[in-house]
Amino acid sequence: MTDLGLYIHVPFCKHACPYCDFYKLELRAIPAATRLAFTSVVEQELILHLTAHPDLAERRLETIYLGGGTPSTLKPELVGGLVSFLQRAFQGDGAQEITLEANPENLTPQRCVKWREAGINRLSIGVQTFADRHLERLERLHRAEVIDDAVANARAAGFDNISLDLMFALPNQTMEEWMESLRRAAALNPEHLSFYGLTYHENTPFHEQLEEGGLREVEEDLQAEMYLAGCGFLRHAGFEHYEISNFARRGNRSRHNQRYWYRGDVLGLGPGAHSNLGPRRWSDPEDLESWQEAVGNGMLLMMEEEPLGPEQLDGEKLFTGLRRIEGISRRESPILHNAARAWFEENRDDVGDYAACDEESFRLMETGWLVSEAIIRDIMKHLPPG
Amino acid sequence: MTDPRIRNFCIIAHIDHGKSTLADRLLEITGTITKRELKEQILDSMDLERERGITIKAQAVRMFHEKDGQIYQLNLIDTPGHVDFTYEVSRSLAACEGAILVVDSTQGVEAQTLANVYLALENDLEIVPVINKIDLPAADIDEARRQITEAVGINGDTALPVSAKSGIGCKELLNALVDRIPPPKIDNDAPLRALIFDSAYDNYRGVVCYVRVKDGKLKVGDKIRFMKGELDFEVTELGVLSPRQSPVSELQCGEVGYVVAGIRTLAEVRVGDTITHAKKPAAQALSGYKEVKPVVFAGLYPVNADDYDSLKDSIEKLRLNDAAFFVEPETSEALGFGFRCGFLGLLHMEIIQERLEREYNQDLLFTAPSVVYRVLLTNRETVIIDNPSKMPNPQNIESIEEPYVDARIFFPKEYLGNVLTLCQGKKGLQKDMTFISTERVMVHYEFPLSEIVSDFHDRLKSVTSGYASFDYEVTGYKEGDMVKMDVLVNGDPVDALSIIVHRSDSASKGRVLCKKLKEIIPRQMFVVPIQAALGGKIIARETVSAVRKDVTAKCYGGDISRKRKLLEKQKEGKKRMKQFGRVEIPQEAFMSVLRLTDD
Repeated sequence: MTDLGLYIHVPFCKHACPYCDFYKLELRAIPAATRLAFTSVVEQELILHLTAHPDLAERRLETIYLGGGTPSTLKPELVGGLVSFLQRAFQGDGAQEITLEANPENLTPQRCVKWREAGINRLSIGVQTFADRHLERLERLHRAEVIDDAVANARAAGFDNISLDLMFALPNQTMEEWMESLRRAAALNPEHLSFYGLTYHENTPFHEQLEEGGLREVEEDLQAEMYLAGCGFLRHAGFEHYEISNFARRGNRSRHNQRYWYRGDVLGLGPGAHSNLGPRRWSDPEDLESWQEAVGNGMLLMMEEEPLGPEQLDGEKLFTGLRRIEGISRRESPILHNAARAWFEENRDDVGDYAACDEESFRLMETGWLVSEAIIRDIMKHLPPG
Repeated sequence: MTDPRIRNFCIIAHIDHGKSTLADRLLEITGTITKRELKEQILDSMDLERERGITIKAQAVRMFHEKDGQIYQLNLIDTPGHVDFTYEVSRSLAACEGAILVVDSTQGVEAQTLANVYLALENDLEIVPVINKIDLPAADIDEARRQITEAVGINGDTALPVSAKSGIGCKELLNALVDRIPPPKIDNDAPLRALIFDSAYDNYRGVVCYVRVKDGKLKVGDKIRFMKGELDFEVTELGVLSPRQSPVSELQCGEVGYVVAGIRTLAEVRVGDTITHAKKPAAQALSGYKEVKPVVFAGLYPVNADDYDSLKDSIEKLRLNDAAFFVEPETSEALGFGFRCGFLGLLHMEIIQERLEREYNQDLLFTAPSVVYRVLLTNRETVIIDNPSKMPNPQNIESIEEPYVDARIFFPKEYLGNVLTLCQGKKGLQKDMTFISTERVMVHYEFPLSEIVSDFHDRLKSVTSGYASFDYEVTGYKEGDMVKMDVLVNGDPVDALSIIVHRSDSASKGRVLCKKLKEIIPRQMFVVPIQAALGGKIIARETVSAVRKDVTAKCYGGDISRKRKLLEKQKEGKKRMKQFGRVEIPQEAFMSVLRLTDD
């Protein structure tokens, strides 16, 4: 019995952050009725999937992840109903890890209790930074002191699996500011931490400002130093650096996110959610109304649906595999292991600090992760032509 | 004796002065072609020709015009309109007795106008000047007359004002052609001599030769001989263009038409050659024949080595249509198996490049074009070098000669300073400077061809805001103090980046080249030194620093598909890169040696 993860995309935000490129809508643009109906449409969507593929219901549900957007803008009672529906729809004892992405300002004492009651057992909190001037620049609705309260409230409500999301390479951010954010985050004793270099995605206001010269990217050398310093700091603080951007206390890796890097099956529900079942990939339409209407009419709109061929699967295995601390193994894919090994041998003098390679596996080290795109492109040249 | 019913003429003009429009109008007015057909014809013509506003392949069209109750056969012979095809132009002119000279009344005389007039005068053509676009508000007919008189040296008062677009004056022009252009001299009984002024390849019939019968006459079934090519064929079809091919049983003395004789490749037919009868050959071929020699050479390589055979195939197909395109196999240490290609000029090279990419769908890598050097060795032997990487060792070289050109540049006087500075920087030697009107200047310079082959034309356009016109012809060779500059990437010499430079420029060109390559060569996992060297001596150096950060921060659900598609796209993009050792060198790098001026 293969297992399954569920991802629910909640495209609601009080305010859209100018750097975010996920599908989302600001709350004031959405009628209250639509918002209230959201979880039940998600349930209907799942029913449609189960009707089309009854064998899906045979799966063991391992994880549920509510991402967005800002899922913490939903009513906990509605989410509670959804979670219990999802838990009952599949075989087994129900998902072990049920994560909610939450903004600090939404984590009041009462709401934290309600999220617990809704069945959520893991919180991923969008902290971003502890410097108020940067929070302001990022147009976040919380300030640094709110973060401390949010974590305290979550702990008080009984959450024992909390992840904090941080960002570095923010416009004009100094190394000191970055390290200070890390120190304050670590001081909250989270079980898990992620940090991401700010990316100027196309079609975002930040990207536009970058093009127009209103924003300047942090110098590449400084970005590299920030990344390595962050890795070093968290390692010393006792975290395992188990993926390019993710750190965990022993036993607290994100089971849901690991599904992406180990390419486990994930069924996505909600507008803009991506699904990955075996070699098939598709996404729900990035449009709340069409998604809702289609599901209401008993239809599943699968966008960009494609079955992946062996060559494409190899490409995915390579770049997801190299994100993991375990790297790629010979057992998993002899072709990839051979290609990576050939690359390593050819560049041995220059890349000894970047990667480790032996008969069984090939993995990148922190310095290698920092330039992993370049390495992946290089290794791909060693793949046999498809 | 002459044939009073026939007039053979061509149209000469600067680009955009209205040559094609005038030709179209004459075809329309004489009823040779209807308006609707005209449109179709325009749609049919090669994309490249239309986009560049030039004519690549010459044709000859027969039309009829009635004047004073008499019907005349007018043969319009089209000429290629660009400097690279001067020889072809001269052969087309040699097939005529007269030429219409078109001058745009809003622009005046330009460089090509003059170059073409000189060619026409060399061929003893009667020139009928025409002032075009007289219906435009900016038209200045008197000024155009004055420039024709002063700059061209033809009486401007004899020029006919026309508007090719609306047809004004075109009937008068047809009458003037009959009156002023002499009819062809004929001798139907003399041994056959027909001038080949163009040829084309037809998939079904093989080579089609366009000819002007100068002496005797030509019939279907005749056994003919190409006097220079020394090959015999049997005529299977004769015809005229009206403008579609329509077969006739014979071509009379003085006429223009086409010949099909089972000729399989264009290489067997040389423009300028004379056709005579195999049984009763003429004693002498017509004069003016020249072997067309490419003046610019470049290496042409498939981006993926696996595509070599398919590229070879495409090149062979293309050559069927272009005898002036010279090709031989070449091997480069850096680029592998490819071809050394010779072209009549830079435009010719660009046309070939575009046709291979567009029509034959090839991923190409061109090395920087080179001129042909004559190298005298210490053992008194002379070798011809068209590839810088083949330059002999300096200790074996006695002297090097490089080709020179005569160039004429026309431009508004306010750009005089800019143009002179540019010419000076390109090692130009001024031979003449004239004001052709109160506003416009013509300068006459001598340059090393290598300076023109690089970015001269682009620079000229930019320093004159596009107002300059420019024409040149290769005149001969001169000795120069030249050296081969090698480029080392990551310590290894890349033969395809070698260039020949004047010793006095080597230091600055080496510096600029290294700097450019630093910008073009993508950062690698390691530091990549780029060096320029003369002999073994390093004269310039730059370093491409190693990649510091190149990582995708987040990789969850949808990121994975996006990421994979991006990687696939980058893999496609790689096709334009050439792996050299451990370093990838993009195509641009090989062309960057063209533009080595400090800006």
